Amino acid sequence: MRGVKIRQMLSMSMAMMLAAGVLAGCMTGSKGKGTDISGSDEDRKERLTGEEKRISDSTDSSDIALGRYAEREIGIPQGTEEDSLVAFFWGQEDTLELYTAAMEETGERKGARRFLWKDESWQEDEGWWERVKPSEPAVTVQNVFYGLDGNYYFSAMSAEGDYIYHLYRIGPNGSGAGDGSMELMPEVFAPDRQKSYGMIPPKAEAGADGNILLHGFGEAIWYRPDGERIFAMEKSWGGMSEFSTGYLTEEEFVTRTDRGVTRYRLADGLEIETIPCAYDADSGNGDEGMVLFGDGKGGIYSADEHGLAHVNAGGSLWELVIDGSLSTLGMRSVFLREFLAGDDEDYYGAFSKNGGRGFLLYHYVYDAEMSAMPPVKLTVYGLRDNSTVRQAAALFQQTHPEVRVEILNGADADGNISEDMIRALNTELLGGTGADVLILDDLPVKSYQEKGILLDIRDIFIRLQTESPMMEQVLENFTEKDGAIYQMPARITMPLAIGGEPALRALAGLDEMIDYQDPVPLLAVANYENLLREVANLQYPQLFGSGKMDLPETTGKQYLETVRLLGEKNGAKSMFTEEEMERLATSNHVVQTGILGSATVFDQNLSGCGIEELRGLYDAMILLAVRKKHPEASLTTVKRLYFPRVLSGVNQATKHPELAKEFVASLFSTEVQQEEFMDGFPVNLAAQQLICERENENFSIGMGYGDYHISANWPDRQEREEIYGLLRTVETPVRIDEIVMRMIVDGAGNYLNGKETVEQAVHAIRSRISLYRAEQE
Amino acid sequence: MMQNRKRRLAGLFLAPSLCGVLVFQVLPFADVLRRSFLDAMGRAFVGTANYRTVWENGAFRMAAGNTLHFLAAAIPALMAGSLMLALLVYRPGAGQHIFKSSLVLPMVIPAAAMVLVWRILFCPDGFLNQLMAQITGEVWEVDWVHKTTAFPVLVVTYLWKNTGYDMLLWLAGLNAIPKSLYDAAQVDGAGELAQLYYITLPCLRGTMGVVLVLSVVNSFRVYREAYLLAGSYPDLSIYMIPHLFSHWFLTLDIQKMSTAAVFLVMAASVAGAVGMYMGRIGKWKQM
Repeated sequence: MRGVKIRQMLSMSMAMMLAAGVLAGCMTGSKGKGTDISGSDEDRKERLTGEEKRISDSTDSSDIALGRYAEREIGIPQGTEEDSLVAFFWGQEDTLELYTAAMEETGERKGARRFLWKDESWQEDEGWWERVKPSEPAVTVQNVFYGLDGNYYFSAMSAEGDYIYHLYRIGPNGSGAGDGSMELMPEVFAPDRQKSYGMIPPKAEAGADGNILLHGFGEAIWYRPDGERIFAMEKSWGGMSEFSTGYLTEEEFVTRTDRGVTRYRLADGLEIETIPCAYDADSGNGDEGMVLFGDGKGGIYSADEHGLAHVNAGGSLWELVIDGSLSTLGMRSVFLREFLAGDDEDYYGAFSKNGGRGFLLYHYVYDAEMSAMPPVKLTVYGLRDNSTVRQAAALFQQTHPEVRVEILNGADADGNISEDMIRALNTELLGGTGADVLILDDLPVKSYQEKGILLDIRDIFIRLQTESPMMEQVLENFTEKDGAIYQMPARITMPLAIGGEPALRALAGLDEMIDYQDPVPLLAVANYENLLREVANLQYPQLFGSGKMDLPETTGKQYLETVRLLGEKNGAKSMFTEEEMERLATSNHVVQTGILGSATVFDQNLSGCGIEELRGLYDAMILLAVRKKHPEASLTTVKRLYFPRVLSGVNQATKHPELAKEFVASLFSTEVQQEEFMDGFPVNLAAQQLICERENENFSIGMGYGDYHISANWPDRQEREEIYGLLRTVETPVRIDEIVMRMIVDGAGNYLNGKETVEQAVHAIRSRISLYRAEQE
Repeated sequence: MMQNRKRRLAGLFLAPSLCGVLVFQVLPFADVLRRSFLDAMGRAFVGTANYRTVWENGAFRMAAGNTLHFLAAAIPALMAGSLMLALLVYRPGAGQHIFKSSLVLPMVIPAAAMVLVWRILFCPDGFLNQLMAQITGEVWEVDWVHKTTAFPVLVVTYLWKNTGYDMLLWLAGLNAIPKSLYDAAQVDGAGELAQLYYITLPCLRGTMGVVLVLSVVNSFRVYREAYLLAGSYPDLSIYMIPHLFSHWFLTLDIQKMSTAAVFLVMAASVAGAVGMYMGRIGKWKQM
């Protein structure tokens, strides 16, 4: 009996000890975590820079880990400010080498210059190009590299005649003196039969044995110097003509494949292993701009917009070395070209500026005194990833070193958004937390505004209008009657129509669309969902001008009848087959505005007008090329409509209201707005002017399907002024509630397929819209 | 003294469960009750304004009406159907266990998988339309799920999913009826129908209350099937209270959700009280 009591007491005391231990563990803070922390809290605070200290003192955080890589810009050689970056690598005797080329008006590179990093400055190897360039044919330099065999190489394109790639080996000291340059494997790059071009690899490398690796568009091919093909290795390609991911070591080729980062054995071309990428390829910019390089011990470095990550040989877990969001790596206005490891656990990065003209060089050095993470965190939430926001975040962090801007996106890896993501955000907002800055695209803005979730940010725009004004009409459209501003689009897109006068007049209203009698259909063929969306957006003032998202019965009937009539004329269907999509140059892919882009359809006289949703000058290129072919056609906005994008607001519950406002202001700054990211035109007038003035002659695009082909160049000054002139005339924002649009699409299906009368369809749609509106009463 | 000790012991065993109910049910509901008198973000007291708003809200009335409609159509069918199956299964015979298992099987099938099959059955070019076309010789392209036919489809879905479960509850009730009652009735010359009417049904009144309450509770879960079948804005005939709650949460109308939840709890309390009352009547009759 006594034994039982002892056992009971023993077990009871052990249980109490366990409970006390667990409780103590739970209550213990994060003190002592992290290997970089040393000394007392006061010591640590002492080591902070002045600005960080001020913030640190104002926050409750007492644990500040120290140590992170600091980014320092390396000055570029004088006179190369407008040059394009050709190459940046460790050359002979571990000397950092830089190659640049001046760009001609046509965008072609004129010669090249070689610089060597000596005594903390760039020293030019005068006359280098003249020494190494071949006498025949005339070429423009593409790339320069230092092979593992100790030789220098350069690749070039024919400057005249056929578009042919050339690969040359320079003398062993890179100077080219004495033995000049020797062309390699010309037969590999010779034009194919009946073509004016042959193989044009985005990148070439030389192995230790002098073999050449040519990066192709889906494989890398290993050649002997005499041009004999040895084998090919699968790899992915990011779509850039002068960029490819991967590097050679003496025994391996490491590259990016669809499955991750893959190592191949150079002896036989067989795969050794594939490990997952440091970051999901679908997040951010995918594998565009990813640079892989070795650490010399079998480990791999991966640099992209997320940062620099490292994995040890045989491992698969990546360690983040440099956080991309705290450096230029995270900026969308520059393109990562090279990243190199230094001798002293330091790194070098080379970036091209947008359009290839100009470049930036950075040195990354570990600073043990710098706080590992800026003490203040500003979170920005948006359903989708956005380049303007990322650019603003990168620049904001440069001017606010005490702030870390964390960008959170709701969309999944495929870019899909769902109601659950909004619910998750609402849960946070309801708890008085949530992100500091909200990018409100596709979020229930009206509701947030009514519930007091959004902060009145009018003071930002009062200040901005005096410092660097934005489009007055956009500002007015998003200013409440009492002068408050809760949301503002940082970008706008606009529908632009090209066509003859009768067709453009027919876009004026639903009546005019029905009355359009030309045998050629008014709008390009599209599936019914896109057609419904396109007409709803183009006729937004007539359908939803009241702003109530109601659809009056008469207007609803007229709208559906118009869509059906347009569809019957242009051959619209609910769903196209692959063959039909190929033949009709259309798609089943549904876009929110329904505007798939139909300038080329108009060009082929298959529609009375072509409509494009312009997100920037890149989108105007084809439109302007079509206009050149049809001088009789006019280019006009559709009823001065525009689509607001990157709607920005501040969470009322933010702990950093001033910083959040400052960040929103930065989205509208000329510095951020002047960058073109294909997410909309800038609303800042100075940025618009800068873009109009900016030349980009080297940029051209082409597209085609079947027998049709069209190419277009970057718009000239007059064309740019014209497009921006049209942009400045837009005045009506289109804001169709996606739930209402979905109800229309669902309700109209049976009518458009001939299974219901228009009255039945409109009744079904209206009853759902009424219910939706009743929910909000 | 002994009885007090037993009560304390019972209380001790019930305590963990009661704690859970207090933390996860009672306290949140108290917060819901509080929020029903505040504005959306819980910053200002608005009195009974939310109750007036919700009571007059067209969407709430429609959802409540549809929910009642659904209960009226599905619950009697479910209770009668499951009782009939229970009576059939209760008779000992070959294959009884297989029959029981097959009826309970729908409970373990995930809703998403079940909805997939339902779509194949009920979509415009689905099995049901093809069957009807075979029978009538005409083309059938009825969209069963997105038209007014969605209501019977949902009722069938609910019955299919819950009949087995209710049958088990009835079986438990049947097993509790003393065999001696049937033996005595047989001696008195009562036939099967007479035994059913005079013994089985009166003895099952207690079970009926439980089955009713659980069936009503389960009927609120039919939203999952309705949502997966027809989306967030289905045909108006199957627009239920959870649809409304889901949409109000999207627009952060927490005050309306809280108020509607209070209404719902009040309605459920009434239904529960009726169920318990029926149960008590059953017990008294048995006594």
